[in-house]
Parts: sequence; C-alpha cells; structure tokens
Amino acid sequence: MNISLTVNGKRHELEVKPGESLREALRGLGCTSVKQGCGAGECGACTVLVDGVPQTSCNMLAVQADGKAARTVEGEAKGGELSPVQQAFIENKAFQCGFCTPGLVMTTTALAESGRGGDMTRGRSAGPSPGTCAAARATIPSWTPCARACPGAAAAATRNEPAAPEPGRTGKPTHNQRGTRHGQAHRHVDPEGRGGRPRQGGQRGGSQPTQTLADQ
Amino acid sequence: MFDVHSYRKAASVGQALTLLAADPEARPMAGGTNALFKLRRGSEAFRSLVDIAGLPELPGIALDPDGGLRIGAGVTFRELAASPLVAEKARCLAEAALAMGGPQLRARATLGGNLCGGGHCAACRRCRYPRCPAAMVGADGPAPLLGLDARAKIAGRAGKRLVPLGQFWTAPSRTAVARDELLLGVVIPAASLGAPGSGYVKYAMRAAMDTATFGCAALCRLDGGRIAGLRLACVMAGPTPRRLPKAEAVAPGRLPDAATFAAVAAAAAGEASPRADWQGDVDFRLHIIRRQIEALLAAVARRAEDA
Repeated sequence: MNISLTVNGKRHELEVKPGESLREALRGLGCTSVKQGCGAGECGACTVLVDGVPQTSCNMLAVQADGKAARTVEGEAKGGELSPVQQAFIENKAFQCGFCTPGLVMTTTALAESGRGGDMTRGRSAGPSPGTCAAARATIPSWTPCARACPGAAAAATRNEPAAPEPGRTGKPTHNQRGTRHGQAHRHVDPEGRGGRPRQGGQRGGSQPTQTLADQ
Repeated sequence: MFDVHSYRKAASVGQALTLLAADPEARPMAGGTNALFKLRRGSEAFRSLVDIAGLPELPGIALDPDGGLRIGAGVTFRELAASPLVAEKARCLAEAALAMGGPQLRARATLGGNLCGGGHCAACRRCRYPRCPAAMVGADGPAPLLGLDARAKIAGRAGKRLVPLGQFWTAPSRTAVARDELLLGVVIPAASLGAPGSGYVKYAMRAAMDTATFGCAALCRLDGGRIAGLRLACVMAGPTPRRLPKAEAVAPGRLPDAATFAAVAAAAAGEASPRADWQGDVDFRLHIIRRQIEALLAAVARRAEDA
C-alpha cells in the first residue's frame, strides 16, 4: 500500500505492508530513535508526535498515519543545537539507561508545547513510561524543569493551571512520583488510610496499588 | 509487523457496512489500539480490517435540540476528557475518560471501540489467552454511560436503531452490535445531564495504563438534604457492565451520611458477582467494591450538597 508520510518536515512516499507498524516504517526511514519496548502501547518508548500529538507508534499501523506528519527525536535538534527539552534532559540528568529517552523527550515536548508543563509531576501526564521505568524515582522530579524548558510552557506553568479541563483521576502519589507537586491540591480517597490492597502471593511486577478518585 | 491480511479504509459508514457485509472475516477498527493489541496477542479476529477512523458520521460531541448529549463513536478519549460540554453535563464520563490508559492511548482510542471491545482484560498483559471470555469488562467507558442511561445508536444495512446500554452488553465479549453493523455513537438523555452529584471511581493496580480492577459511576440527587435518587453502574462487578438496582434502592429517603453510604456499599457487595482472577480473589474484590463505593458516594454526595 502506498502512503504519504511527512517525517520531521520531509515528505516521503512509502510503500508499506498493511500490517507494518508506524514504528517499523519510521525506523525504515532511519529514525532509529523510535524504540520498541513493550510493543503494546504501554511503555511509551516508541512515542512520536503524529500531527503534534504524542502517539505510541508500535501499536499504530503505518497506513493509519497516511497523510500525517510525524516528529521524532531526530528532528528536534536544529542546526546542531539541541531542543530546549533535550537540553533540559541533559542538565537535569533525566534518564538512566536512555532506552526510553527519545519517547520521553517527545512526550515532554508535546506537553511543553501545549503549555501543560506543570502537569509532568502528576505522573499520568508523562504517559506510560514513568510507571514502568526502574529509574523513574530518580528521573521523574527532573521532568518538570524539562517540560518547562520550552518557552511556551513557562507562562502556562506559572499560571499553575492546565490548558484543558482536567477532571478525573488523581493517582495516589506512588513511591516514584515524589516530585514537587504543582497545580490544585489533590485529594485522595483512602478510607483505610493506607495505599491500597495488601500484596498478594504470586503476584509479580513493581507496580504500586493505586486508589483513585477525582479532585473534589 | 502485525498479521494483517487485508486493510481497507472506508470513506463513509455506508461503505464500511458494505465492506463488512462482503467479507465475513472483516472487523471495523477506529483507533486500532484494541485490534492491534489483540492481533499481537495472536488473535485471528482482526486480520481483515476495515478502517473507520475519521468517518464523517462518527465524530462530534454536541447537544441535541431536545437537550440530550450526542457523542460519536469516533470521539477519542482525549477529546472526551478535554470537552467542556462533557465536563459540565456528565462529569462522571469526563472522569472516566481521563482514567483510561495514558495520554498516547487516549489520543487514539475511541469511545466506540471502548464500548464494543476495548478495555481488554488487564490480565492480557500476563496471560496469553487470545479469546479470553473476560475481555472488555474492565473498560472505563461503559459504567458512566450506563449510569447516565445512554442509548447506543447502531447502524446496519437495514437502517439505524437505538439500544439502551442496559441491553448493549449481552454476554462477556458480546454486544448488541452485530458483526456487520457499526456503532455510530451514544445519546445521553437530557434528564441524566448536568446532575452535580456525579462521579467515577476506578481502582486499578497503577495510576495509568491499566484496566479497572473495579470501576463505578455514581449519580446522586439530593432533595431537602436527603438522597432523592441514586444510580450506580459498575464494571468488574459481574460478567458485563451493570447497574446495581438493589444497592440503588437502599439510598432514597436517607441522609447522605456515613451510615447510608456503608449500607449502600454493603448492598452493592451483596449484589455484585465479581470473578476471581489474577487481579484478586472474590473476597478482595468484594472488599474493594464496598470501600470504593463508600468513598465514591461520600464524594458525589458532597458534590451534590455543594452545588
């Protein structure tokens, strides 16, 4: 199938198989920053911006991106200069192994450009990556300055309010989300005064049980 | 590479229906987050895809002339969560929309897909059972819409019909939408809209990218300081999304206090029939149902009082 895909400002006419993912198509064009992590849209390592919106490219078909514009980390540095978000990642040591960093840079860039940089501390806004990264505890606090690095984000962050109405879930701050909190105060419903369910035998995974309820 | 044998993009609902009728293997796909996930897990159900993303008939959140709220099946969760109209008129739905997945997923996953087969069982991450009968029960879209008494608008080749959401999920993994039909959207009646005592609670193992271990939408109406009406709609309290009529019936006429909330929650736990699975055994789930409903009721009653 023939599709037209703009990648980092350059238009490509591609022939792709119907089952080819956007990640595969982008890597085929040399954008090897687009990593495959979980392959199911959960980890966020493959995040690229499709028409400005962060999307996991592993669970998206290339044909679904026909006629759209994708941005990857390869296109963020301009004229040998890193983007403000990339520079902020370096200054804040906002990574450990670096595998998911391209996806996080793109997610952060989208947040910063949408003026919602302050949301980064809420964990959920940073997308799937924070919960699944072993280094998240160390790196999450550094993402807020990263998101604020974008000039457009600074004004919105000082206003301390999200650009879009944000009802809904407030995750209980888990062990890895102890960054400075911004925005409205969160109220957590925690009837038992503790984090949630007891850990059950045979259960694996490092996720913290979370009780959620909207801000009042 | 996904094992997609055929991919066709429909230009209209009519064409999509024709394509679905012509190929018995064909399945509609909008955002693709669910279809591609299942393909990756080895399902053979989505090898022939009819892409219905961006069909002119499917998007849009708008008020009908009669005051009802119409939401197209192609509306993404990102749009739902950001819609001022949804936040004002159906707060529980806005909260559920934001509770679903993560930003990347919300940008592409659609309400229609969520109602028809999204929210694959969270155990899918751990088990590899491609035709899991439990699929779709942990989705975030069904509970608020069920609580809001929404009706599904379904298009077939013979015409369109409206199905109350109470009759939409006919069995685990089965909906009223036939294989050669399309869900066009949902309509929430005016009477359900704008209630201040509305909210959604989700209990999940982590704050993002997880299906609900339990999800519940509540709509509470107060009159003269007492509860005049209560609706509770849940996912993961039974094989399909459901209301809890016995628990709802406990509340009217009582004061919105802790004793009432506990009584309703106890009735809900008595009425629910959760399954045991890797997320928890039945006792744990009943405990969660009780606690979460108590907390949710306290929150929505406070909202109703403050309004």
